[in-house]
Formats: sequence, C-alpha cells, structure tokens
Amino acid sequence: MNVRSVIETVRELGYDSMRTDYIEKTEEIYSKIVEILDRAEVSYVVKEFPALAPEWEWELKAGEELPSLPSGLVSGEIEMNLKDSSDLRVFDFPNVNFNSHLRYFEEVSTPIFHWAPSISTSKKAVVKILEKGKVEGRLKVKVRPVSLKHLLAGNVENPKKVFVVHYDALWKGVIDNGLSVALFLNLLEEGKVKEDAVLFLGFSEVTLWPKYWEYSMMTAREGFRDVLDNSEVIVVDCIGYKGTDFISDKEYLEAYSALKEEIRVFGTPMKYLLEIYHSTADDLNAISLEQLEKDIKRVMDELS
Amino acid sequence: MNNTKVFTISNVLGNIYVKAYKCLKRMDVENYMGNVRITYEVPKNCSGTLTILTDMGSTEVNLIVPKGVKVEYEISSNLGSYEVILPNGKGKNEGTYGSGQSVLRVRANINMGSFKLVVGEER
Repeated sequence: MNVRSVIETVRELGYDSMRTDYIEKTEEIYSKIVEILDRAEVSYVVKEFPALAPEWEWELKAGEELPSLPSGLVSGEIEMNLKDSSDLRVFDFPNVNFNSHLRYFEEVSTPIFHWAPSISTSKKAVVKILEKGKVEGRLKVKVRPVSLKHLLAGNVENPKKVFVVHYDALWKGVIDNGLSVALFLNLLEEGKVKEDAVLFLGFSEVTLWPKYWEYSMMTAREGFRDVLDNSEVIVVDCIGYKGTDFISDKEYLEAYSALKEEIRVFGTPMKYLLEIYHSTADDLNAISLEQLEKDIKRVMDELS
Repeated sequence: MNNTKVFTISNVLGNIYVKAYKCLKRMDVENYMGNVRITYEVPKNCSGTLTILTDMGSTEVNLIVPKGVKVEYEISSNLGSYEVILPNGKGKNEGTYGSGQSVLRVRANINMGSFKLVVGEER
C-alpha cells in the first residue's frame, strides 16, 4: 500500500476527469468498484433504493459566456443576486454565486445547492458581472429516477468497525472523495481489511428528497441498520489535502449522523476544504502527497 | 475464515445483490417484496446453511461449487414458484448435487414469490 497505488486507483475510477453528468459519473464509478472487488474476490452486499437525482442544462452570460456550474435544484431564470456561497447558507431565490474561499481566481465551485435557479461562477467572472452591471442566465433541472446503490464489502457478517466512504463525486472529485474510495479498495484488494467492513455510499452529494444531502445516509441506515448498530462507525471523507483529522464540523456531522448517532469523521476541516470544495480544482494537482501519506497511515492504524 | 455468526438479510421493498467468496456458516435471507440475487462461490472445505424465505418478491441464488462440496437443497412452496437448475439438468424441489464431506444446505420457503436456485461448477 502506497501513495502511488492509491492515486493510480483514483485515475482508474475516473475521479480526475471533469464531468457535469453527475448521475452517469456515479453509475460508472459504482461499476468500476464492483469490477475491482470481483477481481479481488472480496465479498460484498449491495442494497438498492429508488431515488431522484438532478440532471442540469444551463448557461450564464455577462455580455460574453462565463465559466459556470449549476448550483440550483429548481429551473428558471437567473437574477442579479450575487451571493458568496462560502457561508454555506441555502437560499430560495434566483442567484448567481461564487466561493470567495476558493484557492483559484478562475475556477468554479458549488459548495452548496439552492432551492432556486442558481449558477456558480468564478471570482474572475464576478468582476466581469460587476463591470457589466447585469447577468443573464438560465437553469433547467431535470429530475431523473435513479437506483441508489450502497455496497458493504469485507467482513459483511460481523464487522468490528465499518468505514464509510461516499463514492459519488461532483465535477471532478479527487479529494472529495476519490482518494478515500481508492484507499479502501486497495486495502480490500490487499486483504488488509480482515475484521472490518467498508460501506461505499452512492448519491450522497445530491438527491432530491427530503433535504438534498440526507437521503443517501438515511437509506444506508435502512439497509444496514444491524451492521451499523453493532459496530464502530468511522466516516472517511476528503483526505490527502490539508489538515486531515478526526473533525467535528457540523456540515459533516449533520449529514452523517443519519447513519448512526455516534460516529467519528476523519476528513479535511471545512475551513481548508472550501479552498477546493466541489470545484473544478478538485483534481490530482490538489493532492498533498505528504498529507496523503500521513492519512493512509492513520487510516491503516484504525483497522482492527 | 469460518464465521459462526449468522449473516442475516431482511429485504422489504428494495433490491439486494450479495456476492460472497468466503465461508459462511449460515446465511438467512428474508425477502418480502423486493428482489434478491445471491452469488456464492463456495470455498473448498466449507459447510454451511442458506435459509431463504421469499414472501412476495423474487429470489435467485447462484452457487458456484467446487469438487468436494455437496449441495443439499430442499424447497417448499405455498403459492410461489421455484426452479432448480443443476449443471446436469433441471432439479426437483429436493435433492443433492455433488459429493464430499463439506455440505452446503439450501432451504427455501416460498409463500407467494418466486425462487430460483442455479448450481454451477467451480470456474
């Protein structure tokens, strides 16, 4: 197990490629996970649930076309309400937003999704919008039924610990959460997960009921209640970037506590994560090799 | 790994897919309205029991059995339907396939759904 093999698996899973088709990307990653587990003859259980996920069409202009990504869950015209999305507050009015904490001037990030027509753009494009004094844009959200698949692998019968990693990713997703998925696939392949299990969660970033970030965890609890209740649950989300630790940021805990009341979360603190979060910059260049090496060791120390 | 812990699956409306390679002492599956598909590559020297209750859903068990493992199966059905496919043809509601000291018992009870048992030889 080393940093190189984890990064190779991230590439194999396709996390380093920019995709706006969230549904297809999630389904493709799932198929690759199954392929890797079958190849390594690792036992697993898959539970499927019906779910709704969004498919977007959008455009954003201020005289010229602007770099953008969809950040809304409702179709409609964008209005000139400029919002800094780094405060992670959800709005219900049409807006165009940017992440002021993003590390790069020209990249685009969608830290949160709004229950309104909403599009995210870069900090550079915000300057153009302000110069023009107006913005034009529209968002079309198609709601598609999807099969939400959660996969429990390893010791599926009586695990001492369950490590939880979400495998779906927005746009790119190397830090969030390709490295964690790749790390656990490598550990399973190498037979290092003996007494524990790994729960791979699908469609955890966006599903359309009831809140957009909760349904995945609620269904995973429904599907694996006994296993989760009888084991220690450790969530691993966003490793290999900066300051990874066992964290207590409410953004993580709110979502993951739907799995079980008592959980531990090993991940990147939100104050650092916002620099690349759900952005076009969450690629292989975002990895800190030194941090990743430390994180791999700490995860391996947690194995029973 | 020869676990003595019972591996239990209870399925109400969802779809479940299980793929197992390691020795399972017992696997209990209760499927009420969903679909369950189990693929089990039975290891050598492995004995165990698969108990399946299908109420209104459909359950399919695919066993891949090495030489030296005997499969004993017994299916009871109330209103449901079942099908047994062995490497040498179709089976009845009870029977055995293969020989050896390791015995895998499959017991299925179908109330209203459907059940299919497919036994294949080791790859």
